[in-house]
Amino acid sequence: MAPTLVVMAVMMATPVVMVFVYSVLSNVVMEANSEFVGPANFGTLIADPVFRKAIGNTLIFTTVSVTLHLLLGLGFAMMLNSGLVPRLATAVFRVIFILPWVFTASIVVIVWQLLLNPSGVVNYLLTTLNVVDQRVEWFSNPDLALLTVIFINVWAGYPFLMISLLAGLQGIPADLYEAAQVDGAGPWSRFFNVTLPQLKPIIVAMLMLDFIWNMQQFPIVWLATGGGPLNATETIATYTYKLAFSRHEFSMAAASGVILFIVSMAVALVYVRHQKARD
Amino acid sequence: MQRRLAMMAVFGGAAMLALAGCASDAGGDSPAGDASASGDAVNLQFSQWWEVELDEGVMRDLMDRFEEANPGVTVELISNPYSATVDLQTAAAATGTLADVVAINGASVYDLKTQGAITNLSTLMDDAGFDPGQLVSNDQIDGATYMVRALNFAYPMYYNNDLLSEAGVAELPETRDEFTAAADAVTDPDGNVYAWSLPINVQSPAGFDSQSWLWASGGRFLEDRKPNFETQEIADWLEFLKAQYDAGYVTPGAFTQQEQQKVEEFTAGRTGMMNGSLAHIGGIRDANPDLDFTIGYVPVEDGFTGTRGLAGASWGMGIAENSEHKAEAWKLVEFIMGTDVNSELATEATGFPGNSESVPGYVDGDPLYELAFEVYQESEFVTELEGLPNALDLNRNLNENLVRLLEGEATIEETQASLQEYWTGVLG
Repeated sequence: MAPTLVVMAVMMATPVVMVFVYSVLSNVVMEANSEFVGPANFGTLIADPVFRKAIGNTLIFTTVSVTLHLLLGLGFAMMLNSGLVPRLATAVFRVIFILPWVFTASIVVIVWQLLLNPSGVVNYLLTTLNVVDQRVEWFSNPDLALLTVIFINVWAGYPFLMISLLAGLQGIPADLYEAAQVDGAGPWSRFFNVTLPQLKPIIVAMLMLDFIWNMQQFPIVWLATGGGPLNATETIATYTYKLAFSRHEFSMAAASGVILFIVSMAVALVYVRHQKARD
Repeated sequence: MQRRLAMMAVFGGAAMLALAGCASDAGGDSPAGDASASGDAVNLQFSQWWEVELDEGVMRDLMDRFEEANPGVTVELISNPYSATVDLQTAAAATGTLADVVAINGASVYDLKTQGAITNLSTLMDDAGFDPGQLVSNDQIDGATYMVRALNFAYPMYYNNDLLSEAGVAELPETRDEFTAAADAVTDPDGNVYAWSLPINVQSPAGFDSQSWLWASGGRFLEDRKPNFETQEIADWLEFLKAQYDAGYVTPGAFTQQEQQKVEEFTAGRTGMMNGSLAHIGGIRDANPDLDFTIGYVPVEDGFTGTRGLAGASWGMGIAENSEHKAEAWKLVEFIMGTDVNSELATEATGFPGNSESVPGYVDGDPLYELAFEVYQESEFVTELEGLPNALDLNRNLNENLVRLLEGEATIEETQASLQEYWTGVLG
């Protein structure tokens, strides 16, 4: 127990406490004698329209990503578990479906940049088939950039939910389906009355975790667009990174991190309350 | 209850991990000057991006020769791509764990000096009896040297001979008007051919694709190191860029395009002209041996008669303030700046030597490099943003403002005012 506590204190608690302390000081690291400034850094952040835009983008990015992760993950998991697909094909599909999750974020972004580049394969197909007149600037068009980044994130992230839900599906006793069938339940009825209730604990836990992870998603957004163009894809993570590593405003970056932490904890608390009510 | 506690711990841990990422972290740079405890053995850490960009074994071979010439001193190379090196150095500087010798450039030297992370090299030069007169340039901050430039990289224009001749352009454009005529002739959106690329992304604003056009004609962003954006030269420059973009001469995707993608477009023969580092010549030849291209000046404003400006970047070196082996670290810097070694490094990296007596081996016998060397020698080498505080952030702000202008979200006057305001906030 003691070694665990020491590791947690050094690896997790110390940095977290440091970030909280940094967030209420004047620009740490860059200033030799930082001073206590109270909530001033938070006030400056909230007053910045780019930060407010980053909050909005983060919420859209997270909500859409999590929703699509669930729908795709559940859909593919049910397909793999259905028994309708031959065993060999199931094994092949399982490998194919999990591939996006195997790649690192940088590989994922490079692959999609090559595909979606104005001179890339997707634009070639779209223009050749006369779907569009001009090549689409998926990343550079401020109206499309956020959707494009969300699409890549969904592609890269759904396998985790798929695997988790597949494990849950395989744990549902066949007796329940047989009983429902005897009672005259059709496929939809079995899905809503057997599958979903049985999966609910896993779905809720996965949604909460996915929500927290996606709120912090940095590499995909950064490598694809860097938060641009015109802040169209700016998220709290990219905004925080720029504060720290471009503007060298470490206290402001810490304040931004603290806000992200508080939102993440709020989601965790919602989950705990949900579990409490359920128990 | 136990289950709730467990879940609370899991979620709390996930959230804490997110926040922990914001705390300073030395990354891969371990404490500098971690000399062997026994005897006089010294282990120097050299954090750089050079090994990644040079051919395999080049940097290690140089270090082996240094070790041979300096018994008891070993060099550990900490190699990462450029952007990762810069990020790691920022974090390491904040935590006092910078490597003994660090590869830096003009974009980061001021900030590292302000953080007290790099040491005054003038003192080390004096102690070692080094004559700074042998350096091509000896940039100073507050009267002292903090970075020694090992190599300089020039950014001339590349021209695709085939595309230009197919478009009926017989002579390389010398002025902006001639360039516009050539761009109009070359651009063929249906054939996926454009005149040039203007990568103005915000994640890694590395090149000088926009700035070169201003600097070539003698224009500058600063006057006495203070922002000076509200001038006619700047307005004309912005108007030129806007006109090029609106006319469709620029490769689509400019707002998120990166340096490498720009080079790929040129290498694939999809752009007729490109502003880029000389270091790309070898890569272009390797990737597309059939591409017929040449090097030339960046076109200037009509009527300009002064010395043409040529954008440049550098590979520099600094020494960590917290290094326990500054004398040995300086020996390594001095070794790299030696006439022969510096020539060799310049040849491998296709750069221009930082030692005034060194001559890169590639110049002799290759017409393209000879031409590039001629362009370099006849131009004024411009590194206007080097040594400025938050230079990377200023570049990023420049690109953000250019995107706003090209997208039609701001007028030229508004762009000038916006740049003036932001840069004044940083530079005073």
